[in-house]
Amino acid sequence: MAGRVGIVAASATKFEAAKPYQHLMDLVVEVTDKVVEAAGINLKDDIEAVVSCSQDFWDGRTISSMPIPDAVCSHLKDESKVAGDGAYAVLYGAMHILSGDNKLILVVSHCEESITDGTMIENWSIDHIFHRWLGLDYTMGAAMQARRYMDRYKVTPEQFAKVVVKNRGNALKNKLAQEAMNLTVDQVLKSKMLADPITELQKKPVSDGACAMILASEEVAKKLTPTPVWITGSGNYYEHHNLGDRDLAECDALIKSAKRAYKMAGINNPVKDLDLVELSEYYAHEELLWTEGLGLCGRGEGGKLIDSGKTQLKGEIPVNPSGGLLSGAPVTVAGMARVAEAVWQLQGKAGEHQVQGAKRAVAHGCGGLAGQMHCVLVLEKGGK
Amino acid sequence: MANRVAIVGIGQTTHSGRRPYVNDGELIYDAVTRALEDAGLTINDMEAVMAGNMDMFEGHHLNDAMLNLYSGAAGRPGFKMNTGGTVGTMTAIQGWYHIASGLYDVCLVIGWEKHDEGPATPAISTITDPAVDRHFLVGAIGGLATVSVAYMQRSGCKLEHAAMVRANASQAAHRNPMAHMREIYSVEDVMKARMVMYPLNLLMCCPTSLGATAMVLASESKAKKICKKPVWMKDHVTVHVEYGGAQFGIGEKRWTSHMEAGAKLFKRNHITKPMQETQVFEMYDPFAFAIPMWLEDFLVCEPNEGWKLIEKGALKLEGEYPVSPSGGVLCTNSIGDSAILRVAEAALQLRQPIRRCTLHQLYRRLRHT
Amino acid sequence: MKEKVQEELIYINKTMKIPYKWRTGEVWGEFFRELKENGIIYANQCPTCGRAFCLPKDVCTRDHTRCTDRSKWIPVGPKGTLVTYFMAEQSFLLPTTGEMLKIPFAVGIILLDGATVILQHQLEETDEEKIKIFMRVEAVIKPKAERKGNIFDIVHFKTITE
Repeated sequence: MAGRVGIVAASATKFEAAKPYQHLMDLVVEVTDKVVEAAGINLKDDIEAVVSCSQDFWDGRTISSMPIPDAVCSHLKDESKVAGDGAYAVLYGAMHILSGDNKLILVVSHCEESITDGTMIENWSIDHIFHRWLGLDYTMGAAMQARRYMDRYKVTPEQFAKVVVKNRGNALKNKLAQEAMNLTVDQVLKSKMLADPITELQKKPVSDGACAMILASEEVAKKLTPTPVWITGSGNYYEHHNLGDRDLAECDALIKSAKRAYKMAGINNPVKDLDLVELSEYYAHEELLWTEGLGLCGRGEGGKLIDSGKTQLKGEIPVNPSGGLLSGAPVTVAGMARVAEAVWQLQGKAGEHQVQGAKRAVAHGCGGLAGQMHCVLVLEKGGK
Repeated sequence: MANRVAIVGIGQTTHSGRRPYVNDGELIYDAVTRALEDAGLTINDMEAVMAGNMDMFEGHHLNDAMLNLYSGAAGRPGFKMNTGGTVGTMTAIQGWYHIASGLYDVCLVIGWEKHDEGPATPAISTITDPAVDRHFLVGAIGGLATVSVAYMQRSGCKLEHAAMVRANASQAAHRNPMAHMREIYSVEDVMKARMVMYPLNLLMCCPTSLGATAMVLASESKAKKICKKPVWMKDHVTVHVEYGGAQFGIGEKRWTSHMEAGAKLFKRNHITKPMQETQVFEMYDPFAFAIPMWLEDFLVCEPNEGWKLIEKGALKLEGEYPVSPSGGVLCTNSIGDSAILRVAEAALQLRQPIRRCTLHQLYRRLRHT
Repeated sequence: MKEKVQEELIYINKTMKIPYKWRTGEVWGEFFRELKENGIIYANQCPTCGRAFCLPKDVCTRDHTRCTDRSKWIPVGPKGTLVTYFMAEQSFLLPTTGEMLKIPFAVGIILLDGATVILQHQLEETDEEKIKIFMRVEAVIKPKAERKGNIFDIVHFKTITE
């Protein structure tokens, strides 16, 4: 990358199954106030632009960023909305800084999944001429992917279940997590079947929340905090939409994204060079597939990787020490919450689930049917 | 320092009210193909593909991903912007950021709308909060009618002036083969049209069109290799206002997002006399009062002068300061595409040797109610 | 690529509905409760700049001060001034009801006495000749038994002479 972009501070609400007492705007105000305080800046005078992230259907309003300028004090300022995963909003924010246009910006993402029926919205994202009318949603898409993955690489449902046990277990140490549980593989497999092989516990819970972040140019970031976190690599790619155009057992878009990000950041051996990974697993099997895509193991070895224990909190390369998406975070916020967790880890502020001595991390955001778009960000602790 | 960014390829579909034999993917593909042909490149030269569209108009969630086979985004980087009427310009700005940040060199940006496939007016009404004012907006036209009434009251502009604007626009659109409503209307024709929402009658509102526009953007080094006459995206500005009384001048001085945008842009580019120092203005003019009102608001002319310029005929295609010489949004409004089309039309104007400099992107956001 | 007029192909006609359960939040929740229980329209005041918001706001949009302090709320209206308006003479589909708008339908942007921020609501008057900018209007509030705690507890704004 041309210059460096620093993340000064990050904040998130506690993720909950429903936040009936808060209007969407209240969530945004809450995270904005937190992050502004953490960064020690003045929202009105210092922030030059705002990048928000939300989606019209989830919020039930066209141009869902409409109330955001009011909530983040951006009267007569620049605000633009990314309609996708939160990780893209962070990337877009980084572009604002790299271009030299802005020196200090606020990125916010927000969503209240509980106000509507996610199945229907997911269905609306599927092509309207052929497949939408079959009634597909992401859970069914994920089930097809899991089946294909099991079939090709002989991964087992028990290995999927281990992801749930690990992530929801890690979440016990994370104060912001929504569903923290002590589980066994058996309990996961015996929970309600949603779409074979995906059981209820293998799916991300319905969640409400918001996340905010302050991004700054190198110079400004260094002034504002002794612990800036630098974005040193990025990559994002789309998969084909039509399920017939892609092989669900593969994740080419993620492989390409990771390759690009690693090249930028000078990473040759991800397992050695990274200290932790925060990835977006909407369904348990995705974590295994994404760890392959991110190069933490060879193709088809995701199952072995979870068996080996390397991805445990105390393992060689902890994956989702925060509990990941399985412990709760709404869509659109999901990827940004991963970035935020990685930032806290690198700043040494993660709390009980802190990975000791974390210097370099990967945060991953994804969206769409069976992970149709991927965004990978490499984050590094100050110095160098 | 940011990399300079140029527009090196422009492609737009013909615009019309209905095209029943084309689906939205094909519409996008049409625009993309034309833009690539214009630039003399292929889709494989595109490092990133970005899309801008609103979800609810046609009822598709994540339609950037859904239609990425047609846009060429499949297997490439990109993400979607969604900011309402401004989304087209926003997508162009997104492309600008992709290149100016140094992360990419050649990008494709696309805006489209297939208005005949979904209910636009109720979809626009949903920009307001469901709890309080959603019932009282009645689409974009409701909001625009209120600002029109206020403008007429404030400035002395009459319905006849709006009719003149529309008549001018029809003359311009008649010469633009890509425009949707290309019929010529006289001032009398416009005045006789059926009233839709006072003070706007059917011809004073924008039509519901469908169409797509794509542009190829490139960094300085690449642009010079790709084409002889790159058009530089020099500057852009984005401004929002709070929901409240400032745009009507209640309780304080009237100061709108347009004013702030105009002030910032002219100051940064050392433009003191916009009407002399720029030669053309492509405005997002979704209703007939927009041109006089927003020319004033963008600080291009003095307050209450806008409609006088129209009386003088200064804003016509052959006048001293042509505004929306393409016919503007008044004659072609495919929302997700309208704003990017303004950028494209302005760039097309600049390719002609006669007109040199322009303000590139005066950017506004539908935020008046 | 010149287009020929072709025979129309097949359409897919569907009406899609999604259920939503929007939260009003702390401030609007309180606003609607007051409206329902006492028939009073409240504005909340920003402790920093003193502007009175009706509709109320959680935070001031200019200085980001929290405006949730209930003791700072002031009753505004029900009289106010019409800032501007529109008048629908053609029907449109409404997203709130899924039905066509009953015309004529006039909507005013109203500045209630005591407030600094505008409120948008329906006008009783639908004769375009009789609607004048800056005319005085007054909120007509439903009888208590019929109030449900939503924006329609205000029926409309009627024209008044003072």
